[in-house]
This record gives sequence, C-alpha cells and structure tokens, in this order.
Amino acid sequence: MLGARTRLLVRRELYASLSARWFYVYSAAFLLGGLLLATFGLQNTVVYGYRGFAKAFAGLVHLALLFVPLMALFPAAASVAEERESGALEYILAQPTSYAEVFAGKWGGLVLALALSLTFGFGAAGAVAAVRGVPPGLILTLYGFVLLLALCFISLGLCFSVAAQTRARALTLGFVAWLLLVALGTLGIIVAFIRWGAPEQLLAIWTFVNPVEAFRIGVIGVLDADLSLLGPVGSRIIERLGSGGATGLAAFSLAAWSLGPGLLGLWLFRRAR
Amino acid sequence: MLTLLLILSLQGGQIVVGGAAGHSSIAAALEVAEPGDTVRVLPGTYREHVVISKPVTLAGQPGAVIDGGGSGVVVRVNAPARVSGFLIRGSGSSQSQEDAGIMVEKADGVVIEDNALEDVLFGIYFKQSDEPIIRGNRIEGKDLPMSLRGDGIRLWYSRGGLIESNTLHRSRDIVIWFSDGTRVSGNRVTASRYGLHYMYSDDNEFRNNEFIGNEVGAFLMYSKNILFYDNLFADARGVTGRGLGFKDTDGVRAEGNVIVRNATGIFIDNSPTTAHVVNRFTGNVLAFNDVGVQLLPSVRSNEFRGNSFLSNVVPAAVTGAGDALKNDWTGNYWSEYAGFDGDGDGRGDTPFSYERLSDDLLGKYEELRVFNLGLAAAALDALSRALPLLAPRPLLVDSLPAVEPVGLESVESIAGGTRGPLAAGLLAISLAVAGLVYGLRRSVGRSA
Repeated sequence: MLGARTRLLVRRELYASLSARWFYVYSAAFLLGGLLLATFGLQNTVVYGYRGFAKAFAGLVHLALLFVPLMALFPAAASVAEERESGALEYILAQPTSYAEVFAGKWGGLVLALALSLTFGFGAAGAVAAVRGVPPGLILTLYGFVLLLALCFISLGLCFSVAAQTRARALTLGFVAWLLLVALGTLGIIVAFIRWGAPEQLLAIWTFVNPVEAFRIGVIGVLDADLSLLGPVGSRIIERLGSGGATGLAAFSLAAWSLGPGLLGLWLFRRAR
Repeated sequence: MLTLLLILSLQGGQIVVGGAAGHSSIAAALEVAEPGDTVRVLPGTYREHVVISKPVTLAGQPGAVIDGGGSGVVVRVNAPARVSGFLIRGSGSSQSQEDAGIMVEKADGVVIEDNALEDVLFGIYFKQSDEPIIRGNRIEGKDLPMSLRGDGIRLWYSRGGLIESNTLHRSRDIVIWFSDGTRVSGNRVTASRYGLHYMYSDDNEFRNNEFIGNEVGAFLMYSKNILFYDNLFADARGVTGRGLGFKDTDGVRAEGNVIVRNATGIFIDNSPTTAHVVNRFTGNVLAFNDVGVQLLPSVRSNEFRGNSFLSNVVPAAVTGAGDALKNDWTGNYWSEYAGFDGDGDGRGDTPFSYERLSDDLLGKYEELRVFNLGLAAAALDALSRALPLLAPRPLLVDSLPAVEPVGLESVESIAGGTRGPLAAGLLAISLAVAGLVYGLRRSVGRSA
C-alpha cells in the first residue's frame, strides 16, 4: 500500500496534469482520431458470415503507436526537469519525504492522468468500433496494450527527466527516443537486413525488444493467432512460442520497459541528491 | 455401366445379414450373392474386412457398422458395386499399404453413397476405376499429425467421376490426380491440409463447395480447362495458407467464388503456361485476406474482371521483383480506390493504380513482412509519396475501377444493435471519465 505522503504526491501530480493544457489537447486529439478511424475506417460488412478487421484495425493501431508514446513521453520528460528548473523540486524535497516517495508520486500521478485521458478517448472510439462489429476481446486487448505502452513511455520519460539537467534537454531526449522507437530504429533494421544481410533472428528480436513493435505484435497476436500476417518470421515466432506465447512475450516486454527505465530513473534521482 | 448396374440391381434378389435368420457375416453373404443381388445388412457391428468382387449392392440399414479393428482396408471393392448406408471405421494406419475405409480398384461405375467413415487413414480411394460416384458421405480421418494422415477422398487414374455433397473433416486432402472429367460439387472440407489437391487432370468442374480452415483451400497443378463456380475458400491461414492456388494450369474460369480471410487469397505460379490461353476470374469476392492475389513475376495472361477486392491487407502482390501489369485488371472494385465517379456510370473517373514502397520491399524480402501494419512501413509509403524518386513502379493498373462492390450478393451489414450493450457500456465509461476529470478540476479550483 502507498503511504500517505506518496498518495498526497500522486494527487498533487494528478491535479497538476489535469490543470495542464497538454492533457486536454492530447485527450481531444486521441478522441477525435479514434472516433474518425472507428467511424470511417472500419467496414461494417460481413461476407458470407466472415468479418475481417486486420486492415481496418491497422488504423487504430497506428493511432495508438503514434499518439500514446507522445502523450506519455513528453509530460513525463518535462515533469521532474521542469520542477527542478523552477525550484519547486527543492522545496518538495525539503519536506519530510523521501526521493522514492517523490518519484513514485510523480509516476503514479502521471499514470493516473494518462489512464483517464486514454480511457476517455478509447471508450468513445471503442463504442463506435463495437457497433461496427469489432469483437469485444479485441477492443479490450487493444485497450490493455495501450495502457501498457503508456506505462513504458511514462517510465522512459521520467528517466530522461531525472537524467537531463534542463527541461529542454529532457524533451529533446524524449523526442529522439520517440523517433528511434517509433520509426527510425525499425527502418534501420530494415536497411541492415536489405543492405548487409542482417540475420532474420534480428528482426524477430527487434520486434520484442522495441516496446512499440512489441505493442504491435501483441495486438496482432490477438487479431491473427498464427501471425501469418507477419510472414515467415511470424510463423517461426509461433513455432517457438505458440500463439499465446507471442502475445505473452510482447506483454512481458512492455512490462519490462515499464519497470526498467522507472527503476533506473529512481536510482538516478537518488544519486543526483 | 451404371445402367447395367441398375438393371442388375432391379432384377437381383435380396440377401440379409444379421438378425435371427440372416447371415452372420457380410463376407458369408457376399460369398453366396449372385451379380445384381442386394445384400441388406441389419443394424449391428460387423468386425470384418469386406471384399466385394461381384456387381452387387451392399446396403446398410441405419446402425450397421463395419469395423476393421484398426488394420488394413475395411471395405475393398473390385467390381461395379454400390456401397451405402454404413458406418465404416477402424482402418489400419499404414501409408505404404494405403489402408483405407473403402478402396476401389479397377472397377468402373462404383457408387459409394451415404456412408460415414471414421477413424480411417484414407477415406474413399478409387484406383484406375472410371465413372466413380462418391455422394453424401461423411469422412473423418484418424487423429494423427497432418503429415501422417491419409486423404479423405482420392481419385487416381479414375475418369468421369462425381464427388458430391460429402463432408470431410480432419483428413489430409481430396486428391484428384490423372482423372479427367470430374465434377465436384456441394462438398465441405474442414481442418484438413489441402481441401483439394489436384494434378494432371483436365476438363473438371467445381461448384458450390466449401473449403474452410484448411492449410490450403485448393491447389491445382499441371491441368487445363478447369471451372470454378460459387465455391467458398475461407480461413487458410499459416505462412503457406492459400485459398486457391494454381501452378502450370491453363484455361481456368473462376466465377462467383468467395475467397475470404486467407493468408493469400489466390496464388498463381506460371499459369497459364500456353500462349493465347487466358485464365479468367470474374465476379469473385476477395475479402479480408492478408494478400488478395499473389503472383510470381513471370505470370501473365490472367484476366481479373468485375471482382471485388474488399479490405485485403494487400490487394495484390508479386513475389520477388516485378509487377503484374501483363495481366488484365479491368473493372474490379478496390476498397483502396480513392477516386470518384463524376459522370455516374459506376466507374471511377481516374484509373486505380496500386503501388506502395513497403509492398515492393515486402514482396522482395518476405521476412520483412514481420513489420506489416507497423509505422515503419507506413513511414516508407509516406516517404515514397512525398518523394516521387522513391516511388516504385505500379504493381497493377485498373483503368475502369468499379466504385461499388460487385458480385457481393451475400454481403450483409452488421445489425447496429448487435453490439449495443457493449457500445453503450464503453460510451458510459468514456462519459464517466469525462465527468471524473471535470470533478477533479473543480476540486483543484476550490482548493486553490
């Protein structure tokens, strides 16, 4: 259970987030994008009793891949660095509270704020998707993975926020990480595979090591249990891990990304005193 | 031959197996039967291996079971006979001995009708036996790994056959090899390897069959003049999953088929093989497949007209380098088409040209399909649109794309209310969160 001081700090961070403009801008953007995609992107047709969501669902997956890391990373990256710059952090740490409590309070508050924002946008988009015939299991899985992805990037953002001396540096680090994890890293792997014949195993490993790719694998694993959508590499992943195993490993990767940078950030925070 | 069998059966006498007065075994009854006789088998389990060497009718009453005890061929037919109404079970498991439920060898005009076959390696196997009729049977193979199973139905050098209204589950294939002039209609094949595995057989027709959840729906090789009408090919998944595949096949005419949710909808390798021969695909629906139509680079002279390509992840692809421009793609519906129909003639005013850098790469390097539906692939496509220098050549061009789906008589809309409660629940959650945020904001304002 959280101590009273940590609960207080969580509440403080949550209120700060709810007062910030980013919360409403991101929530509105996610809501609007989700509603548009769910309304116009999903086919509401059944062919001989068959439905297919792979292509239509790709839009929602792309939306989550683009927006959720941004929504999580930048507020988290700004969080500690901003208060350090303004002197507020010094004031908080002068109170009878530990570094771990302050860090946990920031993390918890941001997680709650983002969960509210995502649930608001996702609930509305999910309602439209449900009317369009998307199975409830798929909607809930996507929602679960979206929350996990948010956790990863909050941890990563907080880690940058602690490590960087200024807000600008923290945001720059966040932007570079976002670019690398969302697109450039994968493009680099593609180039390495085509140009230098990098081994196929590298492709499989990258899909689980990169949280953004792990999110995609996890969601596709529910959509297409044998991962045939992912070609021969997908097939070999299934041979090794089984259909539930791939989704499980993707979730594990996301959980590890949520924990690892968080703990690193806490260590850096304590060290920085 | 069939007429002769009919006349014989009308003229023949009846021999009963089972009950107080009947023969104790089917073999004993067949021993005394004359050509044209009907051997009527009363309900009961007959643990024997039956050999039919005379033109007789072997008719099982409901509840008549022939049990091979897990060895050899259960019913062997060497004469133009009719076998109907049995549950036949327990063949051996030897691939080299070709253990089967029913094996017909060198006997023309044999009819196998309304039987159930269970726990058999091969189901119904015709060897060098013309004009076979296989109708209304239910066949379920042994519970073995796919590589150790036998074929549900196999025709081997058996011309002029009719395979009609059979149900096959968990077998290996329906095999038609070296067997011309076969009609296959109204069958349903599920959870097998190849719904239809077909080689060196000409002038055959397939109509109203359903191939669902097999590794491959149907694969045709080295054959010509094949008609496919109104079949369903669904859920052939896995990396080699194909709804319908052709290799070295000429004179295909495929109309009104529904090819849905397969890894690849239609796969074409070196077909047609002959100059001036065209394979025609008209009025088919290809929906929700990972790849709608996949061709090898040398493939040409296939005509796709008036088909609906609906929400396939990739509507068409070429394995390796190349394009599909030497095939005719006129007048199809493409759900990717973003043009408009200004003059209201049902055709888009601009051609549909399919080209995507990511598909170009995924076609050349199949391993990269692991990044399907990812942002990296989307970024590549955006980049190639922004920088025409990077744009690949079009894979295909449809000069008169349809603006409404064609051949979609069986498409229904999802009833809006089917997911009503779920939708309402999600909407309520969304509103509740909005309310919670509003409340928290107000409480922040008050404490400030």
